Amino acid sequence: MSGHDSKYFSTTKKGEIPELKEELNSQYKDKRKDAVKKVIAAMTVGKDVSSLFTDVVNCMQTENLELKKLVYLYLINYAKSQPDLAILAVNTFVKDSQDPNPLIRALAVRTMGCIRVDKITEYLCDPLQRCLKDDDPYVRKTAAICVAKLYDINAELVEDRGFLDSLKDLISDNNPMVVANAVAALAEIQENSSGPIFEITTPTLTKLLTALNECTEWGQVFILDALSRYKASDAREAENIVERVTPRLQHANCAVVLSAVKMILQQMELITSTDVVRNLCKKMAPPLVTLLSAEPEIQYVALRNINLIVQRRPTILAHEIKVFFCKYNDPIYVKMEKLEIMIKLASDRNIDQVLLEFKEYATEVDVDFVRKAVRAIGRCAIKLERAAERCISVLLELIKIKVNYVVQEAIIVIKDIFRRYPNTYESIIATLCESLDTLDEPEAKASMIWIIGEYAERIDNADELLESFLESFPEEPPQVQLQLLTATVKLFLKKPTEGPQQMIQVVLNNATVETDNPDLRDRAYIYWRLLSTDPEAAKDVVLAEKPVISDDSNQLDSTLLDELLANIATLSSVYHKPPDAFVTRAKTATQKTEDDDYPDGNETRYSETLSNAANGGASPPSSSSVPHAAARQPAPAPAAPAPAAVPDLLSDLIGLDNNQIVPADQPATSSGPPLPILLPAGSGQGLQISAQLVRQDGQIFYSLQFENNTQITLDGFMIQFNKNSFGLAAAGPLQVPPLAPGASARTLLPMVLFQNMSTGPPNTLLQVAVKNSQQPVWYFNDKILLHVFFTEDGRMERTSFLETWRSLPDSNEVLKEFPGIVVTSAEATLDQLAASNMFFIAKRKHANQDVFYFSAKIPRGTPFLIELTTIIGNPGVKCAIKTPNPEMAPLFFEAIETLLKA
Amino acid sequence: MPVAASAIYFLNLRGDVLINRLYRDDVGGNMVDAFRMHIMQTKELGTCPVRQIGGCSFFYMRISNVYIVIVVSSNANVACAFKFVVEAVALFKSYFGGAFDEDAIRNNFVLIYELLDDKPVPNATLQVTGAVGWRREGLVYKKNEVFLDIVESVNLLMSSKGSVLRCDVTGKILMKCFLSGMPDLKLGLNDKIGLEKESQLKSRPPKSGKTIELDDVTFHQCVNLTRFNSEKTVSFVPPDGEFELMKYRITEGVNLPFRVLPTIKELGRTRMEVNVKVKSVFGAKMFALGVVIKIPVPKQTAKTSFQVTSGRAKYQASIDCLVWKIRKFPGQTEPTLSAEVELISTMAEKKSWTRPPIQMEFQVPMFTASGLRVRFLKVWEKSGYNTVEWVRYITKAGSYEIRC
Repeated sequence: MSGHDSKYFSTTKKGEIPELKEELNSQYKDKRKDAVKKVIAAMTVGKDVSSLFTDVVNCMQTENLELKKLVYLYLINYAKSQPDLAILAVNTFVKDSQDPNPLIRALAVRTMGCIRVDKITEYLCDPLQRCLKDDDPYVRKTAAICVAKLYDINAELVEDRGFLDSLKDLISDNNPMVVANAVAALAEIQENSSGPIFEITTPTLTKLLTALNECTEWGQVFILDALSRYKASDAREAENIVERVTPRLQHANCAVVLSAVKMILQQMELITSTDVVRNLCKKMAPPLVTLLSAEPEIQYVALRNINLIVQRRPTILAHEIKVFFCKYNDPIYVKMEKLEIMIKLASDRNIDQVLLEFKEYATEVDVDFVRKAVRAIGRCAIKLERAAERCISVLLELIKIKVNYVVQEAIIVIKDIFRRYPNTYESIIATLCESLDTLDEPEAKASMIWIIGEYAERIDNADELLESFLESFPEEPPQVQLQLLTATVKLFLKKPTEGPQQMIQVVLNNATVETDNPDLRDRAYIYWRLLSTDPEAAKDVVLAEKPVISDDSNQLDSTLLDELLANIATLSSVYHKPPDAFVTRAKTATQKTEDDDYPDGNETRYSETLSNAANGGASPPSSSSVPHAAARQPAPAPAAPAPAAVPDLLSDLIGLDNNQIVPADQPATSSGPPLPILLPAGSGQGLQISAQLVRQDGQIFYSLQFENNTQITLDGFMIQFNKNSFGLAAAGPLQVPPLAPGASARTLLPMVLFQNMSTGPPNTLLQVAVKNSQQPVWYFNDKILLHVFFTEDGRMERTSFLETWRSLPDSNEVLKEFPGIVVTSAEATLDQLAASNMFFIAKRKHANQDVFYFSAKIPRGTPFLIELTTIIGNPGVKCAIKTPNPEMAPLFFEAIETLLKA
Repeated sequence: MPVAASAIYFLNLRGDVLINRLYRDDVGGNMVDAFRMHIMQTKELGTCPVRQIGGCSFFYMRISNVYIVIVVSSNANVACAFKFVVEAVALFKSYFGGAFDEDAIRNNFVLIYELLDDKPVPNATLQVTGAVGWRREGLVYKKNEVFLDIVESVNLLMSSKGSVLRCDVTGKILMKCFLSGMPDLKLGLNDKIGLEKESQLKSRPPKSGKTIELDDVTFHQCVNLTRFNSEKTVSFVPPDGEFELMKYRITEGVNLPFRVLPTIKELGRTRMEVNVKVKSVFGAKMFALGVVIKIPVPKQTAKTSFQVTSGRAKYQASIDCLVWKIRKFPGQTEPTLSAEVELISTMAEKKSWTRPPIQMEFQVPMFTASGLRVRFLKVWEKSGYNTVEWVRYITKAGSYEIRC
């Protein structure tokens, strides 16, 4: 049976949407069905077909199950963006949930659970309640899962309506599939809730173990996963449970097997009888091995888990090392994991075989794999004392192949072997020294230098060897420099002759004077002082006996291991990290944003923003934007409390850079609209300054107006800007003529960007200092309005707009409402925004609201994608923006507010 | 969907969406872009099938020219997710008639959406309401038939010196049932545990004949595992139609169907002499089909000349191998290939050639490398009809590698 659905993907020449609309309203059933398929096809490839919402929903009332399913699929996708229209579908949902066909009943409930629109959720409760008690197990099963979804949307509602109790009742259901799904739902709810919701009691345990035998494979996984959290009261109970679970090890489904293993391992902790434990270990081995004949991805999951299991119970697979030998065509991720387990299972008994394998791998093609194989040989040497010699001889054989990266890797591990077995294998140093020239990786170089320094007294030409490295000392990476420093000191202490003495001076000089690496410098100074005050003490320190190392790489801490073992088969066991290290899901994370009804707190937050802005914008922008961002995104940006620049700086600045202050002795124009007064005459001893940033002909200017209300003539005006978020600075001298008493002058000061940037999150504060020859320096604050930076090239093509919008993660979307702003005429607003280089992209109707899309760009290529939602003529504008640089959002909102108010 | 997944995507190799199904809206709609940017367009592709990007984890599998990507934001069961994908793909294949690729998906997207809604059991919608989850009641067949296929793959890794490094057989029993009513089936094999149990029960010595020891057995969900554990019998109510009844693994006493004896001599820098002898060690009346032996040669191979005593051989530059094909390979014979390979001399190549293993493909009908035999298959149904049973055996090469 093969379909021919691909025809639905082919588009007709023009006007696809109207054509679809027509077909959706056709009187012929087949045509309607085809049209819905086309809509779904378009939706799949990412086209926006939300405008067909009403037409698609109209097709919902049909007896045809296939068509119904498609319409429901559409609803799930678009209900969120059309919440008001989605309500239209509610009636059909409610009706379908009472349909005589159980499949339709289940479908209706399942779909409603997938739609996260508050209004729909309200209507969902009654049908859900009915379906939880439905006669048909398939409907009950579906309803159980739906409760978990509803809990995610509205936990309170679930608790209020008693759905949790209904779920718990379903655990005693006579259909095992219903039981399994109820358990899955409860487990999921528990995961998202802090309180105890689902605790497994002994009667529950018995019920679930019975259901285990009868339900499908996925149901078995649910039950086993839930039961693995059960703590048996004593060894006997644990043994009983394990006995019921062990048959699952024979299941064909790898997920069932892994979950059964998890459960057994958990209970084994309680079992005291060594016979039982040994027997269980024996039983678990074959199924674990069998997992390695599954698909490579499943093998990978199994191997990551086996890695954990052998750390806790090495006996299980002690005799199975052969199955972890790499196949030539294994994917690299499988090979790497197999190597890790081979190291863990290597023992005196099998080491010869293992070494042969490692040697084989060391000649393969993949560089990373080869390196890991070489390192594995070293780790085995460190782990197995009796095999160390054989390991070293294999390493020496590999060095003889003279493949560069093999040699380097071998030297790194041999250094560790020297540490582990001091005074045993130094005879091979001569061989190592032969490859000295080929070393080019820092770690290998550092290892070799360590070896030379450590065994300086046995290497006749140690000084020559070290000297050859010293030539390039300044260029070496820090790791190598540190090692060179220590090795030279060791050499000097061991052979205090003339040559080393000279060397040490060179090194100490290089490491103290000619470096800016604090680690290196500090170490060098310590050596220097030690050597100059008490060389004997230096010997005791530098040549002290080193503690013997052991191979503990990749060994997990015991408590972490416990936690990971309790999470076998899950992501946690694959990452080898506890779940809370990577699950960032916050329950209330995503909802609300698309809904119109904001919590009341929003208003106050908004006015706070305003007052912040009124305070000269000196407060960090995060105060207003972060609550928004945090409410929307599970992973909020850290609320950076970065302090704004301190005004004190200004005095320094003026004092230091006085010569940079530009003389103002040229005439200036005086026309244009009034500028905001920044320095009132009252605080400026009669000098009043008004100023504003403006954009003209693609350039940014600081438009300034000076009014002299003093009794004397003021001249010699100069201006200076403090560091600011955009690095705004004067591009030329301030040109203001001498001002007679009562006179005023206006000037345009060209500005440049990115001159003196301040650090920290961007803010709108612009601190300005102005002086003249007669008065002290005046400081005042101005606010940078982002829209002056909007460049003329900010226009985007529709397609690239859509692409950019999609490519930016949701965390980069920031939303703000302006309840007080009214857009009276769309055209006028568009013109006005266009004048500020905010370019109109598209417009669409959404219910009674108009949604406009714009793009804008600020220098250095930061684009803003803007969505404005409003009802023309009514107060309230919602603005959502997406930008690669969401820190800019508050600044942007201030700018747009100014623009819209103007 | 048995996993708490947030979304599942089917993408083609360019990253275009073929299917997307959102289950929860806690992940953004731009997850595909994240996958494309951070996995598909980087070297990371293929280095690990489970990745974390931001707050979400991605599990992905490539099947022919399609990526199936599951996105989760919780600590989901990964084993379950991958198994789900594997099962779903198998199901799609059975619906699409074999192929699972971009075209098949485009041609059947409506069906896929429908199947993704439900757990992946064929005809799930028809069966879920019954008491036995996998079988519908009231089936009637005019002729009641059961087909058993025992399919084994032999995995071998042999050292260049001819010693077996690793060898195992993974087998599966595929069953096709066309049976009326609710039949109870019982399968008997010549494995040790089963036979011992039987002889205990009937208190008589086991019948003569070879018994084999299974390392591990796994069963389809229809098999009563508790009963297998206690009584060691494989009893089940089968699903209708085709399914995989059981899988097993054997490492002891494997009959290798072929022995490969390679000698490869490098004569100076530019010449190589390759001699390979392949010996079939199964019965003389049987024969293998589709035998392919791939003998790797260095990249800088310039010219090859062959002599084969059976089949055909050629040099395939795209995989750097001499490929020797023998369509029909009788038992107890030993054809040989001798080839001369001329190489382009390269001075730069300091590293000696790392010899990949010789690989072999084959199928041997009516032969089991494990020695497994079906001893009986009993069918009980309350109406007491007669059943016809058909049994076939075949052994294929898994990864059959000989280092040289």
